[in-house]
Amino acid sequence: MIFQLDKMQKQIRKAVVDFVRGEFKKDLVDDLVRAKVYPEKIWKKSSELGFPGIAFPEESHGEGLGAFEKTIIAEELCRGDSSVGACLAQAGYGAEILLQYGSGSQKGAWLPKIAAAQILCTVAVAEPGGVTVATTQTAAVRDGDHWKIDGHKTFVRNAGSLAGMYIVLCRTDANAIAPEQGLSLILVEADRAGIHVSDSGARLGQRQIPAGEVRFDSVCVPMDNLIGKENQGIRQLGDFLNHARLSTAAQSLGIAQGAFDRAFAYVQQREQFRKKIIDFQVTRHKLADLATEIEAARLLTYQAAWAVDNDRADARLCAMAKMHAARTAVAVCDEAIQLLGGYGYMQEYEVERFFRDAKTADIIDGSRNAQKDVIIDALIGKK
Amino acid sequence: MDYKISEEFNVFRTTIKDFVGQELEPISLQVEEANEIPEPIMDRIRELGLFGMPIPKEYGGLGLSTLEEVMIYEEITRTNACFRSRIGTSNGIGSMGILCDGTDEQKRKYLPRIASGEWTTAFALTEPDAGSDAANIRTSAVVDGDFWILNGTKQFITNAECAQLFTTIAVTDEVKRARGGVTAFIVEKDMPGISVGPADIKMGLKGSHTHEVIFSDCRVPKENVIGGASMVGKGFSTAMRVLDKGRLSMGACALGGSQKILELCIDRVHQRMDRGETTADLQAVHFALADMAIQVHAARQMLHHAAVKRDRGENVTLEASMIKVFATEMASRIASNAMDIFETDGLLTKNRIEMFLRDVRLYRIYEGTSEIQRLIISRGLLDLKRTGK
Repeated sequence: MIFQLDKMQKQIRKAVVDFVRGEFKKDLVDDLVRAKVYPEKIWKKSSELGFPGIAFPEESHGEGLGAFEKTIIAEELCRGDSSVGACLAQAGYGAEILLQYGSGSQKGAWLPKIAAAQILCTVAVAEPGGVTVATTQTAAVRDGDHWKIDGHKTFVRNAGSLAGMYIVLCRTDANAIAPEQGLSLILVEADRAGIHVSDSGARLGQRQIPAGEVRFDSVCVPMDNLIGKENQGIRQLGDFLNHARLSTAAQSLGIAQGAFDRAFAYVQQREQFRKKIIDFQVTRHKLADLATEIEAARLLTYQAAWAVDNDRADARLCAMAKMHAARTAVAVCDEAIQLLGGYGYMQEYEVERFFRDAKTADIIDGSRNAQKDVIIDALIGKK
Repeated sequence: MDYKISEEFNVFRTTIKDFVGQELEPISLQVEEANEIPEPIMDRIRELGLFGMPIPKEYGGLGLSTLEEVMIYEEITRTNACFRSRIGTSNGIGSMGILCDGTDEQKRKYLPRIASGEWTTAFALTEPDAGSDAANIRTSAVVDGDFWILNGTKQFITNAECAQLFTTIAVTDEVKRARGGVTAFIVEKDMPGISVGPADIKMGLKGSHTHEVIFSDCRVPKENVIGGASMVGKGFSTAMRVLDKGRLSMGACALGGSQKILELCIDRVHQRMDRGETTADLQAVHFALADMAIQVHAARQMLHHAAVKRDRGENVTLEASMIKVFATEMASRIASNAMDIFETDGLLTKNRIEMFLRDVRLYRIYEGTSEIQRLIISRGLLDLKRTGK
């Protein structure tokens, strides 16, 4: 076991740190945050870093690297700014589905655009009314040489004007014996007729990532838009979720470290009772606890990333990393607010926004209980 | 333990409960989004006498006991926290100095219009370099004939924009400072030399505003020293006493919000079960509800017990600190657990939970951080004042 980044990984980390220093100017970020606007310029610039396509093969205009490099990049971006970082880290949300299961022409049509920061990628799974994945109602019916899709998806991240396409979980076999066996992933281009997107509305955090309700009203797409084999949707989604969890873990790690950095700096300069706040034993011990938790979350996340890159993509590890990094980020950010006192509650001092973004990461891609189910099922050996 | 409340109060409490449910809840999201409480609602709050809760009847208030007051706060905080903030700051820390230490003339002059809500008050203690270390304040007050001249900057002052009166804490003796050199003043908004900065942009508590307040050669008449000339230099203990009483109210606020969140979670679990999730599917969530209920129950007993003790005239300084820590930390935990139960829906403001999460967060910071409370409690336990350690 080597507990150290290799030379290239160190260079990548440094490149991202430099990128953050150069592009995440406080005034600019504050303006974007206040206006709840997607950081388009920064996103496009990140493609110069090779970021959205860091783990795409070179023939798809990517950098040919892996989940580990993607992890350290997401970590540093979110450390720089939790919200802008989350936007960039989630710009290619769903790309791994195409990488693993897409046809040559699907990959050719979309991966380069994602890598070039021309379009956002989306995955539309959740449905309103507490419908579970297994009982998905969005239906894709054969209509001549097309699929006709009807349904309603909720809280689709990246939905809207920047999305290039929607990877939609559809029921393709209404007669499947087990309902979860009749689902497929179908690619729906964003400019198809019949797609209606409405904003999901005000929310807790990661407010600059567009999120919308997406209705598909008899949307027609060619048969070729099916991703991989028919009725393999659940399995494909399961594989994708490992990547999604890992990405959320990486973002959470960065959010935690970013909040820690800010609080650590603050308590070394803020004086009350004729001492620097860091000179109080309770403060010292709090910081020690937080640093320990972050270190543990980092190691778990890096281990999960390594497993994915070494063909040991492991639902158990990815779920552990996601759950642990996210709850660590929530705890660190919460304490960071406390360490800043009244300033911690003010938007200007950033840590409250890091907290809101951390809690959002804790909930999306499966809340804690969902991760626990994945972990214990893996331990038991359930398929 | 059931503490006796009068039938008259019970009717009042029901009136407020209905007011919250029927008039505040329906505009909750609007207030959150607009970051403003509509003036007609402020008028309703005045009509109901809420601005005068702790103020004695002889001054036009409701003369509620501590227990009665905390019970009303438990009701008002079942929605956006801003309503309580506007009311409770005004009839609490903003005016408690006058109520506890004011001269009869000051009480007669100011309390009636505070009780009616005609005037809103604010408490101007905190400064950029004096947060937890309140004794580190720099705002100075110097005598000039029949006036005191105030100079300094106060920060994070709730109600500053809409307040007509500031209970202002300033240094009157640079050598003695907190030990006999700090004085509490009644500063009226239209006295020359006061300016209020723009509203701070906060994590939550939308609808309630905090501002910087700058005193620049502000001329305050000598009669406006709280408690009169004999109280010059004794303002620090006034300030501490004001905060002390506020801690029980803070506990009530945290409790009210927590109770509401618990109820929303119970409804949510019923919904999930109606849609087919079984008890087995939801066992972890069921246990989470149990944990919430246990803490809420404990907090309520602590709070009501201390309120009744205070009404009997006993000192509840330690208990007030304990309740503040316990209930406010509980509220944050419960709000976070509620987010987990609501899952993605919990992220959306329209489903209320995330608003509560942001609103209750400040409770652990203002009116004495949890860390300050732990200092107060541990010093009390170890009797440090007496042993001089």
